Amino acid sequence: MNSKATTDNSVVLIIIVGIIAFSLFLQHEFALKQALLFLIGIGLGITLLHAAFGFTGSWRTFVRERRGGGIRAQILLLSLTSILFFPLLGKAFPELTASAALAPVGISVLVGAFVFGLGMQFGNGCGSGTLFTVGGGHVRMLVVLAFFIVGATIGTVHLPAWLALPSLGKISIVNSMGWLPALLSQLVVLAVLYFVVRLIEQKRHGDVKQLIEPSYKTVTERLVFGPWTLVWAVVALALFNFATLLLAGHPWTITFAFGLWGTKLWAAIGGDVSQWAFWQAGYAAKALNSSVLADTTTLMDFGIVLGAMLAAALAGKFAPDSKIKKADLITAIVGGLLMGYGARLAFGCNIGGLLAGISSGSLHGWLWLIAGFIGTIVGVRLRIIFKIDKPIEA
Amino acid sequence: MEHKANRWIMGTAVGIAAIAAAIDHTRHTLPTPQANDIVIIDDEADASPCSLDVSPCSLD
Repeated sequence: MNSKATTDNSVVLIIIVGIIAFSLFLQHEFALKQALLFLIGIGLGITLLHAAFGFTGSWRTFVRERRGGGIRAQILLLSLTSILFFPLLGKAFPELTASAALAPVGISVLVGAFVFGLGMQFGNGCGSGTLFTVGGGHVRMLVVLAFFIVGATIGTVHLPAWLALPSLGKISIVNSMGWLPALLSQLVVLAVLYFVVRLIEQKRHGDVKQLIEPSYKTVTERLVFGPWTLVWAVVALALFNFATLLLAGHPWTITFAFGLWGTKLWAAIGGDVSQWAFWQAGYAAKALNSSVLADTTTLMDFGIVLGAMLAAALAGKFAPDSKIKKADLITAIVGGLLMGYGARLAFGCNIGGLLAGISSGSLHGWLWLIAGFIGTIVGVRLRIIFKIDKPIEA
Repeated sequence: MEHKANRWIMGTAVGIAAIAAAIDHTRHTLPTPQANDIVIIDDEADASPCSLDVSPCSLD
């Protein structure tokens, strides 16, 4: 009952009307597919906010306190998404076609993921985390998003130079091993990782955080007003990602849109983008020369923000009180810039690079995980040095 | 007070984003369909970020 009492009814109403109107507009102006992708984005936003499913906090908690509930949930998400993706990408169903998130295993990903992992500790939000916290009404995260866009735009200018550095090329375990052996191998690796994380937590604390927290609320109440368990979020995120793969023909991605928005804005204020090689061919050129609403990542990003806004209003958490200090502003700017630039170099953020890469059987996703986690460890240390966080207790 | 101010800031941000998207969209109006014209749109080749030359979806 408490949850209903605190629901922000006016915001809920405005968002629901907005979602319906925008879905109908997309269906009319483009096609049903665009409207559905926007609605999938809404579902992702609701899931992320109600479960507070983020990478930044959970990675930092593991590095600082050796609590691994969030990381174990992410490993489950990687496993479930791989189970859904591998047969499709391995042509087990020839009538269904979709593209894997394949990218070269090289310096660009190594540096980009490291920079992203570092930046997300300053920004206090990853790719998905930034969007859902903006939707939640956290004003500081608007600053992070603005500079995320700036960083991603600069990244598109520099990417060709980074791609000229050494790389092993694209390596797909689905293509090289066949989807079933590749899937089984990947699940074994993920299971080992899961139990290692669990063991570390158990050793430090004598217990492990449960992924399904008990609550006095009914299931329906929790579904509508939150909070969701991490397991619910894992299932929902995997299914929404799979629906994206089927509808859009590629896995869920976020940060391509940020570079697109930044480049369009730069061009709109008179900037010359004609020499930016990134935007001269393929999908990027088409996206730049079309309506921003024709880009699927943009629609899904809009959906995530509005979905999170709806969930936050339902939970009575929209636009919480918060004073932004000068230090918060600086970390938001630095974090946003680093994440944007890193995401472009790494062929995506924690969603498009890490989740989509590993779930597609691309080795660059694993390189992203390692480099991004090392970046996070450095970021956690820097937060202590800059007195953002207290020193880690032994 | 801050809660109220934050709501206004968020509302303004969403409003500006909506106006920017609308301006961009109206600059890229779709061609008006011609009666009796058969238009074949081959957008399979570059229909997604995955079809970028330098990187597939990974250009996310």
